[in-house]
Amino acid sequence: MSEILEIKEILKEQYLDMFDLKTVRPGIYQIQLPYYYPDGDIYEIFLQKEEDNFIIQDYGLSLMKLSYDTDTESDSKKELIKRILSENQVSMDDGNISVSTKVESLIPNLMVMTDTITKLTSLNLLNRKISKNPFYELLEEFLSSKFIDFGFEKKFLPAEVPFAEDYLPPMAITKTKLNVPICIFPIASNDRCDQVTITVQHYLLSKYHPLLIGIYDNMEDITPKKSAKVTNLLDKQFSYLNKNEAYITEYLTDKIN
Amino acid sequence: MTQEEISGLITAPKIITSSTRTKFKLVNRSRRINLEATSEDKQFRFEIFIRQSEKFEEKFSIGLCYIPEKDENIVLARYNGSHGMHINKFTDGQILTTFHKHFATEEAFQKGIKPEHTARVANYAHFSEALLRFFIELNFNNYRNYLEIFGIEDISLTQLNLFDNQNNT
Repeated sequence: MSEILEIKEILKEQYLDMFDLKTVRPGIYQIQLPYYYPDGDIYEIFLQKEEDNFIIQDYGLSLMKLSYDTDTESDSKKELIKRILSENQVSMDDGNISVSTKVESLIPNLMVMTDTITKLTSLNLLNRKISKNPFYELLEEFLSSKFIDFGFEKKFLPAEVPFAEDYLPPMAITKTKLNVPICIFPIASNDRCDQVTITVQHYLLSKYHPLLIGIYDNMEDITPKKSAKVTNLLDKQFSYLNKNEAYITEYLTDKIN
Repeated sequence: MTQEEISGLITAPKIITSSTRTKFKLVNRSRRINLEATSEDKQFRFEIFIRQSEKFEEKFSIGLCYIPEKDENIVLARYNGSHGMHINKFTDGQILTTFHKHFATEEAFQKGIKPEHTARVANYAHFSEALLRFFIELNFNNYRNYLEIFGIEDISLTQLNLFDNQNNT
């Protein structure tokens, strides 16, 4: 057997092993797919047959799960939830997220449902409070002392980005020769790294492309998986602030003048 | 956070401070309530969050969240219903398919994963029993004043344990 066929077989076999369906109420089946929340609980997705169609739905359980640590009833969160659902073309009725599908589109629509739940789950990352770390203040002091004449802002909310206030506001230098601002994200923890990833993804989805820079307190403190994700999104990163000030100043000055 | 600190917070004697007139609310097809609590010596603040699906009463979560002064909130424990599979995918790989309890661990903190990621099979089989066990095992001294909110009757830990023994024989 060729290598590609062998790998294909392994993947098919393992995926099928993780798939299951069980009756939870008469005519309502819970689908087990290999998609898990960060706490290890499986996504809760149900299937119901209605004449020639299937209804894929969650009976409100995704928002129930999100509500453990997120205020799902605030106006801004409601807007974000509405937007995620609209982008994925799924409906919501009193918290029940659902997709109606013909039998031939069942799997693609199940994927739409899992993708929707994944996006909803990421909303809780944005509310995490970040511990007070002197690094954030040090960086702010350093950048404002050097770039105050170039429109330095410590909490920048780009007007071009919808719902920017619901995401992490970067520091920014707004007067540059690039015709776009330089957005600077300080990163001193894994949670902050996740927040930067989500914020930058939102910028890019909104077709907003400033110069994106990450400055770490100490890059070695960040889990490699998390820093790899953000590395793919940022234009430039500095592993440390300490003893790197001259290099950072030189780089930013070059982009400004 | 070390295992000792986590265990200290979980077992610390606590009191619920919310009004006893607080009500369950039906939001987006789940019954929800949050209660405030402190350690008996008032040194630590907590929040209890309780969620139960309207459609499937066996799908619920009763959580204890620690609220530190500066850092982000930490979920220390969650008494879950039977909601489908759970895998301790980042720790010992154990698969659970029934009622289970999540507890924060030092290992999870060190790995940078959800603190309460690791779960174990639970010693209850429905919501009311899970709630009583949550209050008793996590040391809430005045929980009896709040049972009316949930429409359940009190039962002591001894009675709960007797119930366990009967089921096991």
